[in-house]
Amino acid sequence: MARLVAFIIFAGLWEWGATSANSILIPTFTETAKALFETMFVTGDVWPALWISNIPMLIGYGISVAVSVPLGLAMARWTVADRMLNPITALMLALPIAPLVPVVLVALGMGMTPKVVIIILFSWVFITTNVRAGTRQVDRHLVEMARSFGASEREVWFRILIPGAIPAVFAGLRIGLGRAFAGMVIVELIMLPVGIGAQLMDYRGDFKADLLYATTIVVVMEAVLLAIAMQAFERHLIRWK
Amino acid sequence: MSSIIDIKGMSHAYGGAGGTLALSDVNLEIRKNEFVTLLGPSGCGKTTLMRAIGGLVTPTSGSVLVNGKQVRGPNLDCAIVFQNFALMPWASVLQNVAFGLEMRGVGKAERMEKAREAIALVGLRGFEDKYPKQLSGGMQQRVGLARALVVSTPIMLMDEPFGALDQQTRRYMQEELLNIWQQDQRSVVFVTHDMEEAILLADRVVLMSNRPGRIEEVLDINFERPRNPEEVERMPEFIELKEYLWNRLRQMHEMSAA
Repeated sequence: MARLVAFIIFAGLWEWGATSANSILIPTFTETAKALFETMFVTGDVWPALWISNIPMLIGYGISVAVSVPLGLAMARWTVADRMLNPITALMLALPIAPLVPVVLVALGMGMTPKVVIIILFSWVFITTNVRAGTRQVDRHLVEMARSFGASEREVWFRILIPGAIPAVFAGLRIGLGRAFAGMVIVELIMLPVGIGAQLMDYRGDFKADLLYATTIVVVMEAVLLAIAMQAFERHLIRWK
Repeated sequence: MSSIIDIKGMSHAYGGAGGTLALSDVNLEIRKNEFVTLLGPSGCGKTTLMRAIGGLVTPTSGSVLVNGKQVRGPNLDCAIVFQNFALMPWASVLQNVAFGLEMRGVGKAERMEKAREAIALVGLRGFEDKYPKQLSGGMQQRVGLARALVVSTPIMLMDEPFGALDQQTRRYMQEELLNIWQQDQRSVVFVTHDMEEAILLADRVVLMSNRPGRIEEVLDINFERPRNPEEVERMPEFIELKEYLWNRLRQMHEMSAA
C-alpha cells in the first residue's frame, strides 16, 4: 500500500515536471508508459536487443562466479593465497573499470570476447571480496568442533566453511550481478553499439525520448527481477537465519 | 583401578617454546569412569589442559597418554561439550546431534536412530527439527551434550559447559548431567570456575593456580552417589570444603596481585 502511494506520487511528480519542462528530450510518465507497452508487447523491439546484450552478460557473469567464489574461499582459508591476492583485489576495488573498456577492445577486437572480459572485470572483485569476508566470519569454534569429532579437511570445507559462507556468497553474487549489468550496458554504450546499448543510442539520435526511457526501464526491470529471484533462492537456502 | 588418562610432566607455552607459559609441569592421572573437575582462576590453564587431552592442543613438552597411547591430533576417544555450544546454525537439532556419528562413518538410519535416542535422553523430544536459533541457551547446550553423549566415547570433556547459562538453568543441567552420567558412566573432565559446581559434580577436584598454570592440590570428594545436589549443599562437609577452596583461591589471588 505504502509502495503504491509512493509510486503514484513519483509518477505524478514526473508527469508534472515533464509537462512543465515541455522538452522533446524529456517524455512524460504517460508517454513513457505507452512506449514501454509498445516496445514490450506491440512491436517487441526490446526483446532481440535484450537477448543480444544478455548473452555476454550471462557468460561473463557465469565465468566470474565460477572463478571468484573459489578465490574468495581460498583467500579466507589460506594466508598465502590471501597475501598473494590482496594487493590485486585492493587495486581492482579502487580502480574505475570504464576507462579500461577501450584498452580491452583494442587488445581483443570487437567480438564477444571483449564484452565477456569487461563484464568479468566489472564483477569479479566484488564477489571475491564478499566471499572472503563472509567465510572469515564463519565461527572458528565450529571448525574446532568439527575437527574434535574427527572431520577431515574436506569435511571441514563441505560441512562447516561452505554452509557458513553461503549468506556472504549470496551477498557477493548479488553485488556482482549489479556490476555485471553495469558492465554490459557501459561496454555497449562506449564502444560496441549492439543490443540494448545500440538501441539506446539510436533512440537518442532520433529524439525518441519515450522509447529511450522505456528501454532503460526494461533493463532496470530485468536487473530487479534477477535480484528478486536470487533473493528468493537465497532465502530458501538459509532458512535457518 | 587403571588410569585412562595419564599426563606426565606436561608444559605448554603459547607462541612456541619461548612464548607465554600457560601450563607448567602438570602431572595427573584420571581413572576410568571418574568424574574430575578442573577448578581455578582465569588464566590457570584449565581449558588448555582439557584441550590437550582432546588433542586440540599439542603440549610443548611432556606427554598426554589416553588408553596408553600418546595423543596426537584430535582424539576420538574424547567427545567435547563446548562453552559456546558450537552448534551449526544451518543444521537442525537432529543433524547437529548426529554430526559426530556422521564423521565416524555411521550409516544414516543408524545415526538418526541413535541421535533421536540421545535427544530424548537430554529431554528435547519434539525439538528434532528445530534450528539452534529457535532454542534457549539451556536447550542449545542440551543439544551439545547429546552430540557428545551419542558418540559413546570413554571420555567426555566439558569446557565450562554451563558457564553461559543462568543460575536456575545451570542447576537443572548439573542435576541432569549427574543423572545421565550415573546411568551411563564414562570419564568426565569438567572445566569450571564455579567452586560449588566443582564440588557437587566431582569425584576429585583438581585445584589449579595461575601464572604459570599448575596443579596446586587434588581433593577427593566423597559424597555418596547417586548425588542429590540440593542435599549435598546442605551438608556441613560441603560447606567446609567450599570454605577451604574459597580460602585457597583467595590466597592465590593475593599472591598474584602482590
